[in-house]
Amino acid sequence: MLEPEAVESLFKRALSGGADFAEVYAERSLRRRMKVLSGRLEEALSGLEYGVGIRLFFGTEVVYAYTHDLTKKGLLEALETLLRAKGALGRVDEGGRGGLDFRKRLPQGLHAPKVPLSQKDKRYHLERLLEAEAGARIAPEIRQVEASLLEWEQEVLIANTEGVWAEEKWVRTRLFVLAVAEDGGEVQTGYAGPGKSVGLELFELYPPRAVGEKAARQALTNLRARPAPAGTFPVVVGPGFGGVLFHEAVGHLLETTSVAKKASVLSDKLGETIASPAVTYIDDGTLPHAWGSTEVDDEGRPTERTVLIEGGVLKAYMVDRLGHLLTGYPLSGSGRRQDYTFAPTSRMRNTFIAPGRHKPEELFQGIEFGLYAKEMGGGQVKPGSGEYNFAVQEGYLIRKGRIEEPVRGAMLVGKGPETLKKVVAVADDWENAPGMCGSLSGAVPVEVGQPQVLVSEMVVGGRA
Amino acid sequence: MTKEEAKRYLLSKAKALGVEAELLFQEERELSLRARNGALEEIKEARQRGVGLRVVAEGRVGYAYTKELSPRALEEARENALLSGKTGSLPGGGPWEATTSWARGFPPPSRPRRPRPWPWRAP
Repeated sequence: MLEPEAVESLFKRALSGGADFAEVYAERSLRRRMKVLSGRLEEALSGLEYGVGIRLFFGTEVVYAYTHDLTKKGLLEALETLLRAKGALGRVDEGGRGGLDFRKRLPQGLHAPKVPLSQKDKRYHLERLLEAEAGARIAPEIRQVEASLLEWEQEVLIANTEGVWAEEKWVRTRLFVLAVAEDGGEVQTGYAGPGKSVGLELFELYPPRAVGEKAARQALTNLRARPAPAGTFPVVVGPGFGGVLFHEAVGHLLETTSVAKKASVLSDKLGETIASPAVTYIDDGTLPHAWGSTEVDDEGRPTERTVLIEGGVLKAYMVDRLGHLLTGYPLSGSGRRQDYTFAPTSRMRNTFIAPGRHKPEELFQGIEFGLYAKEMGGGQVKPGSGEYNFAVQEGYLIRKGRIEEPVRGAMLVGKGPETLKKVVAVADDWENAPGMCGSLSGAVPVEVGQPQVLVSEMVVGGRA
Repeated sequence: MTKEEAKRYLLSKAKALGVEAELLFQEERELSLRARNGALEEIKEARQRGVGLRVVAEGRVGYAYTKELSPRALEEARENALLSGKTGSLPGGGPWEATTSWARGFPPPSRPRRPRPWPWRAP
């Protein structure tokens, strides 16, 4: 996308202009969205984008520019604006540093699609969506079904003054079904939304009909659910998307973006016990074809598997370049951004509680009365402290160790760091689920996950 | 690409593809500064241009947007139109509503996007 010679000129000028470090991030992307509503195509849109972001460090001060002009002239113009903005024009140090020798890193195709998006025409994509919709029509109470397909292809080139030159193409596909059930004026919804770093093989991994049916079953379950009870009792949080709770209420507190500013209650706690011994919490950017996986991060550094908490002890933070400069913690390949219009910050990739030793049924044994939060919904978290409230999308009562009737409207309330200490048992049925995580550097694809997890007590807000 | 180049290039390619096309050219500049506790954390300067496309192919309407001068976006918009059951035509003369319709559900690339810190949401 960029000529090495143009990048080299840019970097020389940046360093002579007083910058300590310079980076370019060039990107070309195709995004498509298709949506089916009530048996017909409601929306089909495609977008082609490209651009380049330039980031300079002056000590720990960061300046960032982006432009659509990928020529040498365009890059240098954007750079001059930055240098002027920084007021660094006086510090010219021309020739102080020698030429650059880029170490080119070629992608190995670890997450490359098996069936490229372009292999089938759009009619084929539409037919899969119609299948998903048909799969959701399992009862007369299902009144409306919306099925969407998201397809992203993103080619990136990241280079910096330390000789990094990395290129990679990211392909992601996601199917999302929303089902609305209605009976006697009562309206409830259900969702299912599998997504992976794959092409059209997504439809083999997750047959569209089954995805539609899953969304519909959840909506129907909620339709016959009774209002959830309120109180403090044991909660078993379901696998997969249940991990969103720890993503929001713990994961964000372990990013250097907040740790470096001491804005997180988990700052300066390396080596300390911050969770129950049952908890091992991992952020892994290398899981093959996972929604949040890439070979290199958005700073051009190879991604890795970072064990954040091991047996309850805090082992590492998620560290981007700026976070590394500010804290001295080792880089973890965690610099991420939505696209070239954002400077990267430390972000999660695929974050999950590692599987434990228990069989899932053992978690329920001995619970006199509790809640099974099988699927989590949306929630809110106070940055820094991890205070949260999360809606339970699909919940059941637990009585005498058995999963009984469904309940709706349950809300889990607590503080992430406190909840970590109350995780008393972790099952062996780990799975992950995809989502979009929004933060300072935009919305990035991530997975959250866990096996079934027993929390000894949680405050549950409900209506009964 | 300049506005004039985009117009000439895309309209001639549209003619070659056999579709009617309407273009919405948008250009933006942005300067943002972020400070925390009296220290500057980030300066961001940006220039962007892009074209929203609405085409009519065989009496049906399709959309795409693009930043590159290539026939690819026109082909995408044409395919989108042919998939859709929606018939339609281009409006007579008046400007297309200049809000976000050119990106239809995508964040318009040239629009400053406020980060959404919380909550987590599936799209």
